[in-house]
Amino acid sequence: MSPAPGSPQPAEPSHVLSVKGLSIAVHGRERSTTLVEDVSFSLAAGRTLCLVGESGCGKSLTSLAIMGLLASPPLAITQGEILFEGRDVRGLDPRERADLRGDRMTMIFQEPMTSLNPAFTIGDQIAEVVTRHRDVTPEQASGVALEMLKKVRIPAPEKRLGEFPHQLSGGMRQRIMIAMALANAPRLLIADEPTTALDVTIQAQILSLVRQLQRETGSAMLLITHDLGVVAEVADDVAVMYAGRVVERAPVDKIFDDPQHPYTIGLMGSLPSLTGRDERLATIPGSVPAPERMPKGCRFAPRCPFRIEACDAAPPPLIEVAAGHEAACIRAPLELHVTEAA
Amino acid sequence: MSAILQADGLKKYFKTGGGLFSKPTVVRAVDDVSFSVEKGETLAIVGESGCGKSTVGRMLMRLIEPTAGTVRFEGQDLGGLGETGLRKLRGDMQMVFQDPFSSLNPRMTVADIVGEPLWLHGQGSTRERREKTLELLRTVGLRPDLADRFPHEFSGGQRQRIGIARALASSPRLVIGDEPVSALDVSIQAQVINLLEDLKERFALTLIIIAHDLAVIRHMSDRVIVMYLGSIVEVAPTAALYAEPLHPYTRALLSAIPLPIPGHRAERKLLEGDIPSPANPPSGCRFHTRCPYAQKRCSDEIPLLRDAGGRTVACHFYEDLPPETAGRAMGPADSPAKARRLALYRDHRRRQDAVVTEKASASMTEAGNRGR
Repeated sequence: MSPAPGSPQPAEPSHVLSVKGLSIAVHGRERSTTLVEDVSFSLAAGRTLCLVGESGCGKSLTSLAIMGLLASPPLAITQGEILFEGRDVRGLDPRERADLRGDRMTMIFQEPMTSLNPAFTIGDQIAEVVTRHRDVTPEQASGVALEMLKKVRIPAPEKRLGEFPHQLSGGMRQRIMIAMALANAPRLLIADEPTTALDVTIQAQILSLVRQLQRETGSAMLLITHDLGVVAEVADDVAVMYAGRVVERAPVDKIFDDPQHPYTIGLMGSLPSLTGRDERLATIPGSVPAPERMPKGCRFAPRCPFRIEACDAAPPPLIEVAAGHEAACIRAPLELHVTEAA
Repeated sequence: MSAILQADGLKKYFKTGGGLFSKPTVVRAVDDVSFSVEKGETLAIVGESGCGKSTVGRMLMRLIEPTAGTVRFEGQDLGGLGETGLRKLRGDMQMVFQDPFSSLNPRMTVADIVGEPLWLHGQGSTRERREKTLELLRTVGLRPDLADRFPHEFSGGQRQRIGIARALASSPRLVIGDEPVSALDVSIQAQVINLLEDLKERFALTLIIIAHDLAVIRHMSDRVIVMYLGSIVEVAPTAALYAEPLHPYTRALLSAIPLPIPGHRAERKLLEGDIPSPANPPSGCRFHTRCPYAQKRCSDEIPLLRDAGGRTVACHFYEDLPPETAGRAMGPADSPAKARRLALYRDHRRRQDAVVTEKASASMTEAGNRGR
């Protein structure tokens, strides 16, 4: 059993991953533009951290940086450290990096069809992940492949080993990706919108599968999503990102029961609810500013209903508003700083 | 209430593959679908990939020809319409598409895109059309001074507003939205949902929303049609459907939604298996291969939609199913802290809008004058 959602982390957590002050920029011919700024979080074994935010908030870039998959140039890490099992992976040479990937840290993507090679069978592709990192015979590798297909509950696994990606449905392909990602029992699994392309009944299957396998292997999981429903379903801890920065960080139940940042609150108000249509949706006006036109102060200020002059002065730091709960808003908690409705 | 649109026995079969020596496969994308749309309601058609919901939407507009069946708009059979009749019809019935990136011509300015239907339907002089176009942009919350820009200069949400303005240009009575908000981020999605609701009220529209997101549907619609593999499995008023889904597939759909409530993470019964291919649908009830309650009769006999007290359901055994475990869709109320902050947020959003409207109306008058 994994700890209940939102239970406090152990006093001395063995962090699988620590990201400290990470900034990522894109270098253009004339200037550089910062896309991710000063992002920090850490993740212990067996736990799940969700990075949540809308398009362009930098959540995928952050995960690619951790994997060492940033398209560089033009993208580059300009600041910060990425500690994986205590070592800064930025210092590793490309060979060592490649040895880690697919073995101790693995990733699954949104669109399984583009991540699978259409010219090789399912069995070969899973076996390749194993032979790349382990000293095994081809037979042993196929054995692992079959074992993994059973684990991700693919019907008639023996038959599927010899099939090609196009012969499978979207949900089955995502199961194959999960099988490949977990074949070497990684310490860290990064899942970037793993269920976004799937139908809702298939999404539920995949989420439940990932949760169960993670419990079995004790891997840490970094899950990237825009869907607050998915967050509530799988996260232990949550970091809400907006325009390249973390604006709120807390255990999952705190995010939903005690949202502090106006962006988090606005997002929740924007969600149509399954329980009724009595109320008009709250909205966040406007849209995310372009990266080269980021405001100097709080990046959410131009859209924020609680904006005051001080918001534009400097980027607000993440401040602890309650134990283990941080928000980057100078007006949090709102009820202390804002006049209530008349 | 009276029906504005009636679909009867709609079928669409596609032939795929086949060659000199092999027979083509027939895909039954839509198989015998009938329903009616009441004037002024918002009707939702929901289902997963391959259920035929978009094909139904396109057949209603006669963007694709049905293999069989009829569509009547205000009593008139669309099957018999020629060129002129169809053009007139498409003034009365309009569609908003899912992808605001591919549904707008990149080489036309916004004013041309939105004004084109006016021109097509031969309304007014050039100047009057320009004025109406700017008015339409204002209606959907776009600044009229952006009228001469191109679609790529706009964000996804703004493009969807352009698509909506274009749909409204011919003063339609019925608007069909095919996944109108599913490509948008949550915060933008909420803006567009509110806009659609306002427009519906303002122009007394009838809406058909085709979507897969059950929360969006719950929020927007009065009545819901649930489709599975080309057939309707359940039709019910929205509140009743969510409170007590009758068809096993509807139950499964509702229980599969991840709720934004962490305390609700109970292990729940999930549907096994994939959606079968519509090229080779299961015999009898098409859902029987995944249905936890399936019996022999289900694989032999196709269940017909039958009355279930103000709603209809296509299941042989819905009366005998175990009662739905305590309303998953209800969920607990918001925590006091969250409720309080949401209230604060809404209140300050209203103040924010009031300020913006003042400023905007000043700048719009100015832009309108420039447009002339």
